[in-house]
Amino acid sequence: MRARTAERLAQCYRTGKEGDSRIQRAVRQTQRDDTSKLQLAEKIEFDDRMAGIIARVPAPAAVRERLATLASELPREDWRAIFKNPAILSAGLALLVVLCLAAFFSWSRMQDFAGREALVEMLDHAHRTGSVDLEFRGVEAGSLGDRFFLQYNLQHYEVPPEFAHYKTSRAHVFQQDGHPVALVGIDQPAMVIFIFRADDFGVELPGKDWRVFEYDELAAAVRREGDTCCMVAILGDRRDMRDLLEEFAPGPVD
Amino acid sequence: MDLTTLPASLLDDAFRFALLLTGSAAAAERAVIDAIASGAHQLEEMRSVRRRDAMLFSRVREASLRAEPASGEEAPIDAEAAALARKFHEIPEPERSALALFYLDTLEAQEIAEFLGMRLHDLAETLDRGRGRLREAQPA
Repeated sequence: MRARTAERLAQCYRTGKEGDSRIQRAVRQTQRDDTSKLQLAEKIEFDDRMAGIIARVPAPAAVRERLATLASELPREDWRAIFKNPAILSAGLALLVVLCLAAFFSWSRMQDFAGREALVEMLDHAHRTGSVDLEFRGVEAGSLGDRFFLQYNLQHYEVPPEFAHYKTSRAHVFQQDGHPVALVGIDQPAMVIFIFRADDFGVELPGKDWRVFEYDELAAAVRREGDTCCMVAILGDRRDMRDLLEEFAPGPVD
Repeated sequence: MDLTTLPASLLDDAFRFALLLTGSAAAAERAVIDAIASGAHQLEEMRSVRRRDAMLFSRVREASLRAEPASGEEAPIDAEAAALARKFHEIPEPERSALALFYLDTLEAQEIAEFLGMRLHDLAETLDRGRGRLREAQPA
């Protein structure tokens, strides 16, 4: 996580609240730097003071009394009776079916694009090989473009700049359907990057935005840059991937 | 879910939220009562506690933001809290709502972001701006 992002997310930290994992990570990272740590401590002290002041105020008795009155006055059957009306029930069900269909087609459209099956095969390959194939381990991901060219004569197989400064945990080139695919593993943050020529696998992506899709327990995002495509995969779902892209590769996501 | 089973802590937080949004205990009391009265049926029908809480806060926010400025005698509350509420009332939206919810105990940060229709990163910036405004009005 970038220092600026960590400092920003730490603004959401509250004493005694676990928060989500991004906030916890941000706080841990912020506390490594003396200046940021001091600023965070001041923020926490200020927040605790404000929360402490407001916590002294209970709801007035009039609110509780009004609540009790309302509860006894509510005509309890009316609300359910509306839905027991056959006409309203039928219309509701019809609307539900239409909404489900719309949601299904929308989801299908996001999941499908030409060449998706080949990408799923790549994800399977990464899963099968695990972390045993360690050809370029511990190097900067951004330096792999030169290595792929020198060793395999692969041109334009570049790791996108936003991920270029991470250290690789593994990297190698494998053949899929007779075409080369570069695989780059990164531990922190945990992700696998695939680089391949779009035409080799018939991948067609309109525009230059990330296209996110899910497969098994993985979320993947693929983007075309000229002749080559870059696909990033993580353990998680579409939402996790959007968070990752938002953090590391801001820009439009489809 | 019977209205009478709403936890006292939730009512307290709803009132505190309204107090920080309206800047006045009398206006806050009216806002909470309006919110509960207008949403009583839905509150009773809610099965999910999270959704019920979010709905109550949403109603309280709507009622508080359209509340008329308080006039007449104020209900007696802690003096420091009353002063804080008046300072809060000077903070613009959505910073005021974000910071008010943040200082209560009901919603997690991600839930506050969803409540206000923003991303967690945007909430962080909103809180930072709100805190800045409050610091200006609340010298240490």
